[in-house]
This record gives sequence, structure tokens and C-alpha cells, in this order.
Amino acid sequence: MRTGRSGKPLRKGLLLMLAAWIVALPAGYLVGQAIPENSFEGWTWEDVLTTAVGAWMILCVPITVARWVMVPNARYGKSLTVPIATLAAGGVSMILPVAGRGTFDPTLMFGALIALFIAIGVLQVVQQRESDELMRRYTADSTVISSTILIAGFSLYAGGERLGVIPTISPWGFVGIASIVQFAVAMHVYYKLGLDPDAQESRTG
Amino acid sequence: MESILDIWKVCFTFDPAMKNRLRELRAERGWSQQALAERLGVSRQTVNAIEAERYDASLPLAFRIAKVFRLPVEHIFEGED
Repeated sequence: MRTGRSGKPLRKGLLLMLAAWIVALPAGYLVGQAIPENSFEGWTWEDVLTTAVGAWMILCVPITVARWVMVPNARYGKSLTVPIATLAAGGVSMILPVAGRGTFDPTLMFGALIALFIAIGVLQVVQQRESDELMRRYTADSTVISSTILIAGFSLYAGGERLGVIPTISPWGFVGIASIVQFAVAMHVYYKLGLDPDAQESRTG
Repeated sequence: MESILDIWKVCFTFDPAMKNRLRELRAERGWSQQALAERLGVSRQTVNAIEAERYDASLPLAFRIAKVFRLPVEHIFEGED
């Protein structure tokens, strides 16, 4: 029997956030010191957006591991390796084209991106096979809703862009926007199906 | 107009799933959610979501649940009259 999990989730959340800031601030300062001057010249808002999303995905890796280790029966799938590898590969694929610019050969990076996307595809198939029916429903619902929103949004954008009333966004910017839409929709479906930690951990018996 | 409302309802409302006696039956037998999940071959999250009436079990899972509790399906899940 697990006790104390549903006691004060807000206070626990605030404490975790405080701990994250204590670790993140000096780490961010040290990373900032290590980045050579003028590294961010030529960055567009699209680069900033995709890098932020990619960094967020990589930051989710330790959080997922911690939750896996610390919360009994927190597992939705059978293995930890697959979600971790999918998150890490997704994050790297969003950061590599921006952060690796000027450092690595573009052809080599594009080859690495192709390999990463093949790996992500394989991992997603494995994840789907390992999931039970609730997780499959979660994946199906979030995919249908996000693709409907994205197709409608993209069609509207294309019309506006064709008419010259909306500025052009590069495919790279679209990747950043699509990732954020997918994340928001995934969170919505997550809560709708009662998969959020509060709904899950307060009803354990 | 009605179909737009239907799509909105499917996507953005928290429709309760079927009423069921899963939590009550599990408590009677003194099983944890994890123990029941293992018997059913699903994750604990799935058992929790069904108990919380956030998710309707598939037909094969409903029959597995009935088999585990040795009760007819209609004694566990309450249909709409």
C-alpha cells in the first residue's frame, strides 16, 4: 500500500520546481559560459522554438527515469528503454540541425537525421506493440486530434500565405509549431483519459 | 452544425464512461489495482481509468474482467437504459 502520494501534490510540485531551479540555474550559467561568443548570430525565432522543444524533450528523459524509479507501478508500457530512446532521439533531431550548424558537415548531419528518424519510427512501432489498450487509445486519440488541427491550421495558413496576408514560415518553423500543438493535444487526451498522476495516484488501492 | 458539435464533444469534453462495479468488486476480493491488472494482462493505469469511469473497456477486456470475477458482464458494467 502506498501512502502519502496524494497528500499535498501542489506543495510537492512547488518543491520539485524549486529543486529543478536550484540545479538548472548554475547548470545554465555554466553552459552559457562554455558557448563561444556570437554563436547565436543568425538564429531565427524558428531556431529558438525548435531548440526549446528539443531541449524540453531531452530534459524529460531524467524526469521519466525518476518517475519510473520512484513511483511504483507508474509504467504504462513494458520497458523503460523505448520511451527514453524515443524522447532522446526526438530531442536530438530537433536540436542537431540548429546547434550543429557550422560545426558538422551538413551532409553528414542530414544522414544522421535520416538514421534518427528511422530509429524513432521503429521505436514508436515497438512502443505501440508494448502498450495495452488504454495507451493505444491515448495514442490514437491524440494523433487524430493533433493531425486534424494541424491539417486545418496548415490549410488556413497556406491560403493566407498565398493571398499574401500571412508571412512565410519555413518548414523548420512548422516543425516547432507542430510539436507544440502535438504536446498540447497529448496533454489534453492524457487528462481526458485519467492518465494524469493526480487521477492515477489518488485512486490507488 | 450538429456534426461540428459532435466532433467538439468527442474531442474536448470529458464524457463519463459506462458505470461499473469494478472498484467495489475488487475491494470485496481484497485485490490491489496492480493485482487485478496483472490478472487481466493490462497496466494498472487501465484498471484505474475504468474504475474512475474515464475509459470504457474494450469488449475483449470486458469479457476478461467478467471471467476474472466469475460474473456476467452486465453485472459489472451498467448499460444505458
